Amino acid sequence: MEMTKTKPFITLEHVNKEFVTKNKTTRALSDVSLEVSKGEFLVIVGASGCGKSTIIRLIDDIIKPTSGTIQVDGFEYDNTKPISKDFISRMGFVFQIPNLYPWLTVRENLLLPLKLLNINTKEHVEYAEYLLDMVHLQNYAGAYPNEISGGMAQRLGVIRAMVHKPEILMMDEPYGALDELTREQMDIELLDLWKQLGTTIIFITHDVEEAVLVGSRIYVMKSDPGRIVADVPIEFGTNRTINNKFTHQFSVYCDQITELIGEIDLSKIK
Amino acid sequence: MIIILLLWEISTIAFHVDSKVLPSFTDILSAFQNKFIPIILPDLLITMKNLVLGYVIAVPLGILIAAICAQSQTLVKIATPLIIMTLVTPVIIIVPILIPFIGFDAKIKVLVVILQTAPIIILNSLVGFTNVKQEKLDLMKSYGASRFEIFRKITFMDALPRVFAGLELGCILSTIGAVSGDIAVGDGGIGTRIQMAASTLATDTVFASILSTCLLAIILFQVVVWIERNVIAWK
Repeated sequence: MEMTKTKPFITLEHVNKEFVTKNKTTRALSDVSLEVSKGEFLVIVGASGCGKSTIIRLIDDIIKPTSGTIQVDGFEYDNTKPISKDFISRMGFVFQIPNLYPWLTVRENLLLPLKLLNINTKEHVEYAEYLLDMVHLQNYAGAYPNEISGGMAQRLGVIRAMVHKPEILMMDEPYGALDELTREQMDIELLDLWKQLGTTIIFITHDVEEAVLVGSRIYVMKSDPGRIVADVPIEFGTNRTINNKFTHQFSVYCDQITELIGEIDLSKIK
Repeated sequence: MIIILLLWEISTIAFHVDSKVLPSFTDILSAFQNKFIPIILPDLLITMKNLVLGYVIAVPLGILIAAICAQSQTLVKIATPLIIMTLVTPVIIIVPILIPFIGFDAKIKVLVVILQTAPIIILNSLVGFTNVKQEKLDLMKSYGASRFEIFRKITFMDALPRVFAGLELGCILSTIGAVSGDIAVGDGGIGTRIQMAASTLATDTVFASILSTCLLAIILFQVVVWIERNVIAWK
């Protein structure tokens, strides 16, 4: 099969990130370079503390790199000042915890990004209602976050990141707190959404099976200092189902990636 | 509570305690009943005016100072010991220093209330403003929200329960402040009444006045609790 090399949508080149605390400097990322194509479902997998989350926080401009360049759609980030609201509105971020604001209702939490980004078209508000419906939260729209279950809260966290129709969705172990059955179901739901919307997704997880189930390509990371050690394409095509899990190829991928992650030095995990 | 009051009542009668030393509880109640409207209430109203005025100024002032301090970690480090210093210094001993500047004016009593109340509001608000979970702030950053927007929409809202804890403690401290102001400055008010009654051994009036002051503090406290319940509706 011949593949034409498309221009990458997101590029990180020689990115370093150090966190300086009172007593010491931690190298979260060391010389990380990566590329993500438009519409790709990229997964970054690795043990705790390997810098996975740092990468998407850099792309979403929550933090700035110590050195190196970040480019999205041909636009290079300025490492000294925040990128514009217009540009940042092209991205969505799902946190490890639902990260809902307890003083806002379910619907207010969902609409918050639109408010912050000054988006008030009828189309977006209708889309918000569609998303609520899709994740079965329509009946809870007026409830406060402490009145809904953990799974509902997490689903709300996911659709909130999508409400402004971002081109890039970054997800930081979004289902880590859920039980395995719910998580698989959410993974499949996410794949459906991805197929429908063609969003570029960067998905962070430490779960190898989850990585192989959803990813079209997987970056494997190691810690101390955080770096990318492998780039593994997952050739399951776009039409994925839970049944992929029971194929021989699936376990081959899992074994390969587990081996790449290697032995985890527990003493270095904080 | 009832047992204590009963013991008080019985022991004052049983041991023939002089009512100038310790009046029985029923003596206090009858003093309260007889003297509340003609004697205690006018003084209580003077104190209440200073108290409420001082409190109403101290609340926004305290929150504002906390909000400014919260903007920098260095400021927090500098401010915290200063706040604790003002908290432990009885404001009443500062009054003689202030009198040459302000004079024996009602203003000085309001100032005493502010000085007594603001630090606890600052301290509590500051703890609230500086303990917001990083993810909550990151989410706002991920939508390019400005620093002011983040403070107004997230930090402030997240800290509200803590701020209200400060406002409730502030109720109690402002009552102490108002009464100390009366005592230090003289010139009317429930504190002056207590002092005068004590010097003439009208112990029942002393106790009845203290009781009235306590009731005032409890009512103010409940008002703030009621406001809190309505403002923090999500809990």
